[in-house]
Amino acid sequence: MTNLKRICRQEGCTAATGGPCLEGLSFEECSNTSLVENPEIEAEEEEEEVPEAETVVTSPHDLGSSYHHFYDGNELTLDDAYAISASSLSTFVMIAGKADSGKTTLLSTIYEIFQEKPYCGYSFAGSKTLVGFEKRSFLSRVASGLDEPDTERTKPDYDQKLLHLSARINDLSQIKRNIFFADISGEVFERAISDIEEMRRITLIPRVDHFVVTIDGERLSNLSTRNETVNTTGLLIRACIEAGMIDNTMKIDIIFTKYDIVQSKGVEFNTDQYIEQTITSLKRKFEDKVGCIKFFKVAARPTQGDFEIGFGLETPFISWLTESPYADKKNFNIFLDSPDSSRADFDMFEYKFNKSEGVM
Amino acid sequence: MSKKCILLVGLPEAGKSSFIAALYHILQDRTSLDALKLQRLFGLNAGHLQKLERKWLSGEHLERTRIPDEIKAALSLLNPLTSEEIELHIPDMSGETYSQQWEKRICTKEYLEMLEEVSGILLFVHPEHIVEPASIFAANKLASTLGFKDIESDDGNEIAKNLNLPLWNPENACTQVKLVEILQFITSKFENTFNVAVVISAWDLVVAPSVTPLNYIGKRLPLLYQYLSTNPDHFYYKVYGISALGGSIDTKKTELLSILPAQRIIVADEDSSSNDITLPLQWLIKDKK
Repeated sequence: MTNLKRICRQEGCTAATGGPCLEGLSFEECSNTSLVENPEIEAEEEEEEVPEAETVVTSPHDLGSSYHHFYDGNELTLDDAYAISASSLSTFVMIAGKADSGKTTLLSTIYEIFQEKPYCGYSFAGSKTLVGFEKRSFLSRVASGLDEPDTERTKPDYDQKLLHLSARINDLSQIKRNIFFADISGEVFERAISDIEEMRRITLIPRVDHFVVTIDGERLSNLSTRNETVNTTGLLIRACIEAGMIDNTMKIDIIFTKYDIVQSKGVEFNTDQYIEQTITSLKRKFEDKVGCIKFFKVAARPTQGDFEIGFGLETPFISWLTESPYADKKNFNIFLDSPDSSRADFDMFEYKFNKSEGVM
Repeated sequence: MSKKCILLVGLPEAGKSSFIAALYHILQDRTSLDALKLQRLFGLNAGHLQKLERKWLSGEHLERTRIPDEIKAALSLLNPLTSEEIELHIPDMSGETYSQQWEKRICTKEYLEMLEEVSGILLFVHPEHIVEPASIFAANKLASTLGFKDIESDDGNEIAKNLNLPLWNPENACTQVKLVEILQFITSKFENTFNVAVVISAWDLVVAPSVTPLNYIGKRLPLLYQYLSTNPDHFYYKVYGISALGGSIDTKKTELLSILPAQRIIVADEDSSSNDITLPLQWLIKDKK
């Protein structure tokens, strides 16, 4: 804290101690006031007890006053997310896939659409990670100076960081729903494909309600990269299964991203047909090993053709927001629209935790 | 006497000072029989109110409130319709104080103490100072429609990246995100329901006659509108369009000064239009149960 104090030379004026200025001026404007050294403050401060739970800082703007720190608005830890999820219906979604396959763009786009209007019958009801979303959306804004929208590459670390979005049905007939997105770098998944121990470090996977795998439509539109891209996706899902991270209750969504490019540059190489063959192949390989596997074609931030922003994202978004395999499995649906929804969430998390720890 | 505290919330240049200057004048004005009446004025920086009022009366531009100039005035008011005496605290905090909340994630402990006592919040938005989330997607689409540029610019991003693009800066975030976060900060500390009167200041600038204050917010600040609508447990809200000056003092000063100050004020809600700037206050302090 600075060791300055306010004084006023005007007799009878209490402006220096927080009272009104007799001249009717602000402290800075009045010529009778000034800031002087106050050696007593430091001595007093040593005796002052600072509450443990609060962070106290000082500002040069307001001498002597203390500040409260709010949450930082960046990604949440799993513990933070669980604390929020206890108050409402919640789902956890992990988006996996190769680097630059459009994982972060998917979740940023949902946030960006809410900035314009309600989405899929739901309205924005809050987010504890607005800063995290803003940072991810920055390169899609005119303010970034870019010609084409872009998304910053997610840092390749294993921290289980989550972005939070809360939405509520437009007619308010149901309570709010929370959705937590795990945004993990593509490099982490690429390493995990060939190393089962690396895969097991992504401890959030068994706890999520939806495991989403992105397949880069732009790479499918290129003959030299399409086979390797599909093969890597298969290896990723297989590695998750072999590491015990995915079982026969997990809902898997496969998203063919950048579908606008498939429909423009990819037409020459029958990419749509190739996608249908890929769907058949992945279904045959994994349908009996997971709870359910669905396929979507999405152009989140299209740059080609007449696609709208978020093309194809509605159905998976609604599913992510409202469906939980754990709710289905343990008949938690009976709680879903009850006022005591927090109980349902606690039970769900207990179930998920036990499952991931191998208790069930 | 019942004690009420109304908090003025808004980013810099949102129109808080103009509102407070006009309000202070009207509360002293005895011409309207129904309006709230000022009995007594006291508190920190109360003299600053008179300075604001003088400038407002003479149609001068009001300076932005700086943090040291924040007014913590209290007004003793009489409601002529109910004969109820009200002690109204109207802390006029600088817009920078609220910007800091978003940018530095801090607030003063005094602010939290104040929130414990507030009966209502006046949330200000100025139509000319709304920063919207302008997306490249929408800009390119518009440019393409108008035939201004080729949207298939293959190496545009690479060139731009090599020019050391500015990094994300919280200061440049759009208005609705900042305001939602400021309200979320409140709900992170308090569980009670707050009455919020959203005030679109300089309402004279919103020229379309079919636009109501509520649908204006829905269109210009959709994230804020959605947030307020989906959180009735935290916020009971109403939207007003208010022009404290009645028009632009740059282009209509003579015209504005030729009419009585109280009559140049414009106050619009969903159903009506009047000159009574105390309407949002009356709505805020009215028992909603």
